[in-house]
Amino acid sequence: MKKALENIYHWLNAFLMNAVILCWKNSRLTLLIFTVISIFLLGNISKMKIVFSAEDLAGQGFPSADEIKILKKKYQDGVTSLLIVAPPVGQDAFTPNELCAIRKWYSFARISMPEIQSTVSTFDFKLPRRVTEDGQNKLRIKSIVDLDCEEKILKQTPAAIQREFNASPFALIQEKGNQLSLLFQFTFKDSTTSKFGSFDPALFNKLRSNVESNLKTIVPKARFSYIGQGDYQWYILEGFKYSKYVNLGMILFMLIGLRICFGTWLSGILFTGSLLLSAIWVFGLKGLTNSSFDVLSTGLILILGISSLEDFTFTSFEQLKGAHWKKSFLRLAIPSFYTSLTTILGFLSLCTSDVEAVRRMGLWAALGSFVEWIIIFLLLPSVLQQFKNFKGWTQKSKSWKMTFLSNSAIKPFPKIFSKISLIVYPLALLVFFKLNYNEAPHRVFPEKQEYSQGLKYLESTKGWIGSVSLIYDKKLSELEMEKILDDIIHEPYASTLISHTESPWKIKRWLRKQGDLDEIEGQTFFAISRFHDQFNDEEDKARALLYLKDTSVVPVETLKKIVEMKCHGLCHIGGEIVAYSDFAGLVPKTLIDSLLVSLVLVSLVIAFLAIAQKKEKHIPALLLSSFWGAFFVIMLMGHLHLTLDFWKSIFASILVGLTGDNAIQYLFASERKEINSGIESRGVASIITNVLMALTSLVYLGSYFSSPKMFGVILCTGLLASLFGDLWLFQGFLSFNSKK
Amino acid sequence: MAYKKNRQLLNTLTLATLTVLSFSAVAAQKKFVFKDNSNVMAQNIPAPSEAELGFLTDKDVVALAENFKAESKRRPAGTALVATEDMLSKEYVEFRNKIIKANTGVEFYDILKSYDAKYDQIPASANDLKFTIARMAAWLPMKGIIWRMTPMVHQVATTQQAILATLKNVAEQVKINEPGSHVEAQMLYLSMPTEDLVGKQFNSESDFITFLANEVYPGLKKTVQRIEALKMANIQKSGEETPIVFDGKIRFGENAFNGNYDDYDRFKVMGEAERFSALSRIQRRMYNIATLAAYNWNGHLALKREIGRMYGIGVAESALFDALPGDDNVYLKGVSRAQRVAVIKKYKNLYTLTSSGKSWMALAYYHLHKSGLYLEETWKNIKNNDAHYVAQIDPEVFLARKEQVETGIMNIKKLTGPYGAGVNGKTRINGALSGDELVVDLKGFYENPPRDLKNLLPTAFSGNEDINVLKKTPQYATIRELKAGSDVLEVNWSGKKTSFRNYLNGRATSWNSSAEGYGRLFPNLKSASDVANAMRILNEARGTRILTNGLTLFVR
Repeated sequence: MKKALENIYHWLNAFLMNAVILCWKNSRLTLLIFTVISIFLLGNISKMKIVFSAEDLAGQGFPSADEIKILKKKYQDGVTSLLIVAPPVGQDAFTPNELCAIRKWYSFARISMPEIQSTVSTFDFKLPRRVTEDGQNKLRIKSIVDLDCEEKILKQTPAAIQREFNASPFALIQEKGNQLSLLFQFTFKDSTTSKFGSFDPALFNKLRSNVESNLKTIVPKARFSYIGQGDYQWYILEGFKYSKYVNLGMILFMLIGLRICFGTWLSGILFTGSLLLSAIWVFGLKGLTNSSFDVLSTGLILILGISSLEDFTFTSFEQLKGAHWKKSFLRLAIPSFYTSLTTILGFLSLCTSDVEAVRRMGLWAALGSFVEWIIIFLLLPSVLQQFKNFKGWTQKSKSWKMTFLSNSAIKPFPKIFSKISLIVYPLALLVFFKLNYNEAPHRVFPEKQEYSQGLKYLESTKGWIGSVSLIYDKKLSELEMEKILDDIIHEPYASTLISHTESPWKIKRWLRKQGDLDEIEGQTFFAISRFHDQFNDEEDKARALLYLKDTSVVPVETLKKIVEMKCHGLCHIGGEIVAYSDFAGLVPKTLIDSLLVSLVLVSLVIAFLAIAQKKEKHIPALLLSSFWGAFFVIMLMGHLHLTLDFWKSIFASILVGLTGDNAIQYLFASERKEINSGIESRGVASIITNVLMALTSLVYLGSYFSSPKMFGVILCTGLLASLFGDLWLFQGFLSFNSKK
Repeated sequence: MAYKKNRQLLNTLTLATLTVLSFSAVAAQKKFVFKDNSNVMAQNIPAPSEAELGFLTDKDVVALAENFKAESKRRPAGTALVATEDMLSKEYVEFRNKIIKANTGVEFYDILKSYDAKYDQIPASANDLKFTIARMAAWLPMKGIIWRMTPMVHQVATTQQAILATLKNVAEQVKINEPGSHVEAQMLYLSMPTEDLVGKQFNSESDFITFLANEVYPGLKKTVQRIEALKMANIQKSGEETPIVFDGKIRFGENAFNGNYDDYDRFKVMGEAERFSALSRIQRRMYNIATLAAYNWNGHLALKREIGRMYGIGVAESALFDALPGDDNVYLKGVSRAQRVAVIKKYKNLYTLTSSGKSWMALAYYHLHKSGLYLEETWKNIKNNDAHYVAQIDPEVFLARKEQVETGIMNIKKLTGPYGAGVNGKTRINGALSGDELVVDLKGFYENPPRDLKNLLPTAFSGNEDINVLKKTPQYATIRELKAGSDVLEVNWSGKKTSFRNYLNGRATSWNSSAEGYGRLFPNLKSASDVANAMRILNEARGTRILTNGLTLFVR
């Protein structure tokens, strides 16, 4: 067995080395092949489909996500932009002049786009009223905001109007105070595009540009908040666009970082160039295979940059020590292949996830890591071959003198310290199953971001931040439906979560009361109102809307259970928030499954290399040190109660894939000697590499989204902790076998 | 025997009644002098040339229809296309407020007249007002029209009775349904004389036709020119184009609707569909006037009076026989087609082509062609929209499902599409039920119209030939005419007798199939009796209502 592994190891190494040399020898042909492939793939990038809605992100076959499409069609939910325009602080309402101008804007805005399916605004709410005019009893359907724009008169006080709204059954127009803010809801038709899935951002751009250029000039001091489901997606897309700045930041950081470490700008240009080429290959292949670009994909280049930096820096360090560039490549090609392999396995372990986006991320990041190795070790040398006098891209005299990182700096910690450090493993396991997964869709944005601010305003003025549909699966009488709803909202937990409810029977009752209508009149007025189709499907099966104070995963999942219990199979809850909650419920499984798989696979690779290099006695130390960083972060997260979403759930397996790399470098650097010599040889390089990687992770702080920001911090901490484990604790673990 | 006695009694009674009627007619003459205009010289109004009309060419119309595409890219459709008060221009609101407050016909006229006069000064930002004025200006010649028509319609008692009853009914309905609204003012505008109208009443049919051709037709011409030239959007100073909206208050008065800014049914966005369908309709009105102007109508009322009198006598006869036993009798014949045709033919000058008639008929085809073109373009551009728009298609032309409208539009295009000198108008039309084919040359018919429309009347009528075939069946042992030539037949089963009326008696069986008759319109007629067949196919075919409505009068 051992012999067989050794044979495989030697055969594989020989194959890799031959491949590298073959490419060098035929450098022009290599360049030609790479150029052709790159141009071809570049042309395919634009075919990439971009997805961001919960229904698209969760993927097909995900029941609650699949239902969103049905609900949109059944109840004409469409893709909605919800704009709230509030008077300036200290003002209860807009002036009649302003109201007339705003109403005029709305009148034109809603017919300016053919894609609009329906609209509703504060101005559109009407009531049947029995009045007497000129001694004649009349039934008038009057706007609640009774505004005479010829005379510029608001016929009621804003406070009286708001009181009327507050007495209505519509959560959207109710306010905690008396301030009369205005609401505009634009629902777009099915706006599926081949590029953006079930959402077309162009529609929202058009609407927003209209608001900016027209509405904002009417009431410049007003507060504008976009809080619709479509707006959420629009902001997600903004984040996607913003990712290019983050990637640019990373490139700049790497150019400067590599210039400081290796003394030349060329080092940074070569690395970032190879990284960009890898990105072209990865995104080109994504486009070619119709793979989607989602929120996780925004961090793909950055994560590729971090994970492949190692190959380049170790090679650079060899040159810094005086080696010719060719020699440095020959020395590092094989170990870098294995470090890339562990990284690839770390990413591939994400494919065990039930979340399609995570699987997608794992697959493409793994492919990217492989592509990066190919580009650095097969293409880059072929490029450099074209310059006969080129010796290397490092310049020791101009590089940062890292004298403080002498061999004394990488001295092992006392044995006892290493022993104590092992407490991380049980502590991590202890908190592992208690990690906080209570995320909410809106928390993908930082608190100060516009959408988050809008939701905050919504919460403070209306008392809710999102809604779910209570869908009655069978045609029931209104009494039966109302009883079920009452049972739900009176359940102690649900009563603290549900702020308002909207239902067809409440609307009908309100209409009857306001207009002194009899049963048939009430029924008819409701049937001809725009609300009918939003609450009743074609078969006249109804739904109610539950407005929630909290849309986090745990409350929504709990509500789902309560509804299941109270509905007795007659109804269920659905909608984007429910789909997100179901989707987020897969996060713990993703973390556990991918971590276990990555641990096993990376352990196997490290063990294989240790056995092949006849250092099997060091396997426990190698494994303990390699995984220490990942477990340290898990322990830290548990104790700090950090919440995990599907973005952050991928950190552990990625860390496991990355942190095994130092151990592999030490193994290869000490091939025929004691492993300590490897640490002495590559220890400094591993410090610089890990610090560079950790600092690069902090570029995520510049992300538009809050999850990647936290992911960057987690990754940075993990990489530093891994360095600590790989270098200092590893030496301590090695000493467990000695009597010293 | 008893029957014979009764017959004698009846004859006596009939004679007595007719004597009374004649006396009353003589007595009536003292109060009312009937004017038979049949020998009055027909109007002779020169027809304008197509160039003088200054309408868009067919190519321009098709180019104008491109606006539909731009419009559909700009606006939502169906219920999402909500119009509001805020979308009206201030000039439109000003006009609306004035017109709906008009209390008298004079006020109504003055407002309309002043806006019509300053039409060209209305800014592009108020194209909504321009569209409304362009259409409402067609009211201007109608001042006191009802009063002006009175001397003419008084000539025929039945017509006068019918019109009087209708007008009184309308006036009453206005008071009941739209109290206090400006519709009352509109009613007064149409029915009351004004000082300038004194002496301008219509004394003969040709007076009325002259009025239509000299006053109404140019008004419609101006409307078409204005609507064709109009940009169907209010163009704001910034260059932004906003939709034209119609406010239903102009139609229903100031007390209508709930007073909300977006009242349902009150505001309606006017776009290319409205422009094109309006143009199609106005072109059809012009076609009607051109057709009327082409022929001499003097004597039309006298003819109606004469036929009316024939029916009147029939009514009196009928009353006389009420006391008699039996369900039917041979003395009651109604007024047969043959009788009516004979009477019509007495009026030699009636329905004859005037000296400028040929030009007017050619112009009539031009308007029909334009109307068809606008209709076709409207349909082409709205047919794939939701049902909301299908209402734009004129119910005068279609009341049908989408696929039926499609076939109808095809037929209209076939019939009225050929245009220009030397272009052959012959086309094939197929009946929707039978699939039978009919060759029609509408263009040829209008370019070379019959010199006398009476040529289109039937030339032969059936007796009891259609029923004779029954005599051959065994159960009809004997069938005989109760009186020679009567349409009442007796059936005898071995002494068991009864009588019945042959309703096919007197039907038209033959027409003039020469070029001066139906020969030009239906060039492939097989025989003089084939006209009935041609009419059947035409009636079956979709979209031929415009043509059949006119022809049926003559064919039947």
